[in-house]
Amino acid sequence: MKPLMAPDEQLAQALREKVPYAERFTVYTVSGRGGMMATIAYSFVEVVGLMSVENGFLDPIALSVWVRDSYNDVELSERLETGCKAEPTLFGRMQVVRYLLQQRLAQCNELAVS
Amino acid sequence: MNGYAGKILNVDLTAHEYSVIDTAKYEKWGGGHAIGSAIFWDLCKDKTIDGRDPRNVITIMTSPLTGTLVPSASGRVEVQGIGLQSYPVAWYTRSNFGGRLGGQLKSAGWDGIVLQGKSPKPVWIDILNDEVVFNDAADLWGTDTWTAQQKIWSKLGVERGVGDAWRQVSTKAKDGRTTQKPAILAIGPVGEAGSSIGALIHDAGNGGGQGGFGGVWGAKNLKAICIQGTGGVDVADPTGLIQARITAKEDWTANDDKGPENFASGFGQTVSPVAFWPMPTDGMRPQACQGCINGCRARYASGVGNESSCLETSVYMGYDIAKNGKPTAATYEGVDLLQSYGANAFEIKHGLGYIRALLEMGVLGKGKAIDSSLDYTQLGDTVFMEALLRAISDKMDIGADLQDGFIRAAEKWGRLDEDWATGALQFPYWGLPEHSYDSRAELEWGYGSIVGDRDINEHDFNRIFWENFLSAAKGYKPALTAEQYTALVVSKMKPLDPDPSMLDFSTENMYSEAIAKLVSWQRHYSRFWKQGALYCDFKYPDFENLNRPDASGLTGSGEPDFWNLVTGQDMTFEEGMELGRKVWNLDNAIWTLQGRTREMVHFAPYVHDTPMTMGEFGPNYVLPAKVDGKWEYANVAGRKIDRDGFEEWKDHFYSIEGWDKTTGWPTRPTLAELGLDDIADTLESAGKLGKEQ
Repeated sequence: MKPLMAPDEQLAQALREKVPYAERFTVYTVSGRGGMMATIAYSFVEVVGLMSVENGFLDPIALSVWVRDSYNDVELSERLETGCKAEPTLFGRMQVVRYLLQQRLAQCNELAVS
Repeated sequence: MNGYAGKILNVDLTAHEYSVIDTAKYEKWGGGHAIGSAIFWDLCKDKTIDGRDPRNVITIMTSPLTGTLVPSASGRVEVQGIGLQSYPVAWYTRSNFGGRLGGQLKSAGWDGIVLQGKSPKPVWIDILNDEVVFNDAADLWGTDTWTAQQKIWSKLGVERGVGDAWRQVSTKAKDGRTTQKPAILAIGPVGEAGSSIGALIHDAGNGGGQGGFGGVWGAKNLKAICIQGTGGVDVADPTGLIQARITAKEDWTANDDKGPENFASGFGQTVSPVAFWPMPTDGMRPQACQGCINGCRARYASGVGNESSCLETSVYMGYDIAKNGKPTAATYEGVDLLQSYGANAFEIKHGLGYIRALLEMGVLGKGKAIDSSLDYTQLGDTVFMEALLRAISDKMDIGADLQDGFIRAAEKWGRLDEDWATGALQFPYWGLPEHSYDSRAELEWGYGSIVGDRDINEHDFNRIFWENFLSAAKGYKPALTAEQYTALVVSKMKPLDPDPSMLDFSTENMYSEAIAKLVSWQRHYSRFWKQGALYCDFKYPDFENLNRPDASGLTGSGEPDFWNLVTGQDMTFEEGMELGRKVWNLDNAIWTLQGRTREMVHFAPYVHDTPMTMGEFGPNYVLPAKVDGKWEYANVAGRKIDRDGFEEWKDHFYSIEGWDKTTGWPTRPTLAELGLDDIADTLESAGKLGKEQ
């Protein structure tokens, strides 16, 4: 999968901030017997973390809208939408989500360090 | 009376005395919750009292199967009485925990324990076979549940690390020997405070949290009950029971050689921990309740997180990740703190979500509308979990407001209406926390909870959700089509006619008579087979079993077969269902006396007013449904429970139960049919007997 372009400092900084309460985002963990356990995330960083566990699930289209509207990350938004729509299985879509989210967070962290 | 010990311990905590109830008097109820409710009915004269009232009667019950080799039915224990947790009324309710306490109780010669009164000072009870001793608990009060157990073992001369060596249980030869440590049920500091968040804890991770019985014990000044038994349980056909167990293990459960490709659950599952945190990589070994055929817990080389299972293992992980970016030691240590402080994991899990919401809304914190000095920047770290539990235990800071749980705290803070409407408070039924099975999709879970007393926590019909969800997510086809699955399940729902529409979770069917039949069947099944006979919810009912050539599980024949091998009776599955209906009616009579009316039976506002939404490309809520006349596993998210529609459904449900549709109260003909004329008389005297339909 093609890497994301590096974000500018402004976007990198924004992605490390929380969103207002009204813009919170839901991530699920689905397990046998555990059912669909919802956790509310209040930042991009939290979403990345919650998706780091094996059974983490989210709605990639809602995520695409969220990163665009709440963080103005247009590239990530488009890549999430196109990447997930091309994947036939939910697990496959979540792998795309994880790849893109982790890559974006790493880019942000790199900028923060430098 | 094969299977029964023959007597029930009746404890007067006020006088530090005890008497014996002959089990035979209650044998007709079967066991577990059924006997517990019948005793409660007889002994608790005023059912309208508060759960902390010394007159509250708590029953701790086993079943004839407890302590025997019946697979996955030997280790459960039922607790019932007036609780502290539900809202607006703290209903007569129940909780249930596993482990080995029930087996020890039976081995000591008791079918159950009845707790009445209130001790004048903290006390712990030592049961060694027939001997019952009341001990001063001054040196235990204030300790956590694990320390309390260790101290009691130490007092009894039970050394740590003795493995499975035989041990003489006292200086008297007649008391006999055992390989078991005494089994202890204890409360921690949260229960001592009398909080509705207080749980009963046994060993490391067996907990009875729902209902707040830990707080009830605290109000009764009861710190712990310790049980050692060196006897046994008489079984009618021991050879047949052993053979049936071997057959069940070999032919009905999965193993590494013949495990099905698709996700398997229930009776057929493999031996593996049901834990939602990342499994430690430094070693673990299986752990199970007494008599289980395929255990679901683990003990870890790290010594952290031992015996915790299912939802409790998820309590702190999300908050840990939000704080630390990934699961850290706090995920495990936070849950250990819940067990040791003796706190209800469900209440804390969703309570923490509410705390985060209040923080993000800017209303909680130092100098804020809800003034609190806790360091919320540590939320997600071990230290915060301990600070919160300490605050509740000491009734300090927001812990003072949380004594009666998060719903009542929200009410005190003047936020209940708003936060229940928006869903910031995810407490959908009777003020009890969401169980990750949303009532708007998972109808039988929500409906069953709201017509009862608590979050049902019964996975009977929703296994198909996670089995299919996880299989489909990987691109597998379901092992059974929706039509096959539905036909198989309804064929086992005796005594009902096999009506597939009972499992049609479509929006068009959600307020139907068929869904009312589904809920009614489940209430009756659970009340006897799972909460009376004490078959484990993780294994029963066994509708579909992918280890069988025809995928047909053992439900229908398995439950009565094992029951009869132990008791020597000739009970049919249908007779068990009728016993379940009987105790379900008795429970409703108690709720009626407590003040329940039909108008009270509704969900939290967000369930009625806000659709549960999920997108096309994300996780969805797949359940069997008829779509355009064809069965499929359909996504049933995206809907709410319409208020008028739900009233229609209640009409169907009350009609099926033979209850008064206007009030929801039991009627005389229904009670008389069940042999409960005395219950009808009592309701009539109280002016609460339902009118005949």
